[in-house]
Amino acid sequence: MKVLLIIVAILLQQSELKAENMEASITDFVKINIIIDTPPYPIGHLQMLNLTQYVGQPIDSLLTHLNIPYSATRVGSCRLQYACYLPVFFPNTLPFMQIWVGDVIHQPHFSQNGIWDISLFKKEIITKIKLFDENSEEVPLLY
Amino acid sequence: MWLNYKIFGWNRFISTDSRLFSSETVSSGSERIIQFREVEEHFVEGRLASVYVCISTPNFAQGCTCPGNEGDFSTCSCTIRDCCWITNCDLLTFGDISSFPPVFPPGGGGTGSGGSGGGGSPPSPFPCPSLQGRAAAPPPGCGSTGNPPIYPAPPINILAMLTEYTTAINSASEIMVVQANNEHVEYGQAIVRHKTNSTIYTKNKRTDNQPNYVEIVHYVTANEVLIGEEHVHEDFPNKTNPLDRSAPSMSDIFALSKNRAIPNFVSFINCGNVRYALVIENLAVFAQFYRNNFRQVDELDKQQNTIAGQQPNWNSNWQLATEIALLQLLGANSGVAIYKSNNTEKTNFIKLN
Repeated sequence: MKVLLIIVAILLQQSELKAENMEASITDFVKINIIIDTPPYPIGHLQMLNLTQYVGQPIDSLLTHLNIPYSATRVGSCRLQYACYLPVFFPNTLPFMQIWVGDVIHQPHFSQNGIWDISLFKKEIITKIKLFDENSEEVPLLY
Repeated sequence: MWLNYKIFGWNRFISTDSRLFSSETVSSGSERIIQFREVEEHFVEGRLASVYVCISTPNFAQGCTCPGNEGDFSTCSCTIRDCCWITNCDLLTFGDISSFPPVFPPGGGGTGSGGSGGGGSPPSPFPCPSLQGRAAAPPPGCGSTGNPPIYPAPPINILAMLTEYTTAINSASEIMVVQANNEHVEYGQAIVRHKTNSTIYTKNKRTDNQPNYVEIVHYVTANEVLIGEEHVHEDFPNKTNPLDRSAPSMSDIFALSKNRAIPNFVSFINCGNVRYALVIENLAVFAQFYRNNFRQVDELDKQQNTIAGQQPNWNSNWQLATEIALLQLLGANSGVAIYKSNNTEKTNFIKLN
């Protein structure tokens, strides 16, 4: 893992903490920003990718321009039997992404056994992109 | 905020003091929403904790509007979900222990294991009150271990609650079912309780015009409390037998996580002939289940489909087959309770797991 830049900024701020039995001055707090260009990718890095521009375009167009390694080998379903989204994972990274589509036109939307051709699915049009952090909590796209 | 996050799992707070985290946002608003994403304790390192704090401010530039009073962010809305907010997240590490005055005198009594009396370990951020020599019993949980007391929420009769909710929404709900079946697309709506008169009703009915999916909007006004949601599992085209409509999926289970901070939040799935209800009954267990499994939600949905297809009755009763598969996958440690209606009005429920 290659760490390009580590910025540590120390900000000092004074405030007061009042509690029933104590009154104390707080506090130094340390603000740490870490920018990393190789895995693992922190959620902040993924949030900074300009993903919103791909809504309305085929999934392939996003994946082609995704400038970090990824794995997307399965099609996710809704109601168990309708092709719905593409889960995208990144190496050594907990945060992940789901690329959602609306209408499926390049193959049958419905599949009795829940299996679809992923290469055809990547031709479908993106309707939304969801990002999930290391605790699998959905976080907003920042761009 | 910290205690509510640690004990109840609440992670979103409206800040009424603009000085809080003032250096972390460019917002000029008088109120902001502060979200705790995680808290790690670092007592051993001489600091209290690191807190990953996200501060959200309305994204007015992208069409977010807040028609209420200035600073009342509960009224903010936008035509596209989640576009309404600009969120900045920072990891803040608090507390140089050495700067604290000796509020816990050496050898002082009753502070418990986290807070110390005299031996050099740093004080707990959750100190139990000192007895100060008085012969009073310590609060629950503060006796020998020093852990902060956790008072359980008063017990709720879930079955009665489900009957109350469904009786109130039934009329609007049935209209939504008919509409979904006619159009062969999923519909969903939020369920709220009015703060003043306690009336329960539905709102925000909508569809994504998809046969398999609907994003439910949970927007409520300042006079409403969100208590649940409902979506329809409608007919497949050319199939009008309600037994062909699937039971809740594993994805439906995980979707509960969005509103897990709301006690006893209910997700109803209306299949026309029956209504399922999903309720988190153990938040800690569910949170762990979610963290451990949500990354593989697509695989779990596929497993549910496979297991359902192995049921002997799957071709004649897909609903029951998918229900059996769901219960098998959930097992005994999901923290989620599954209920199913057992009367024609879909207002009486039995628990399935």
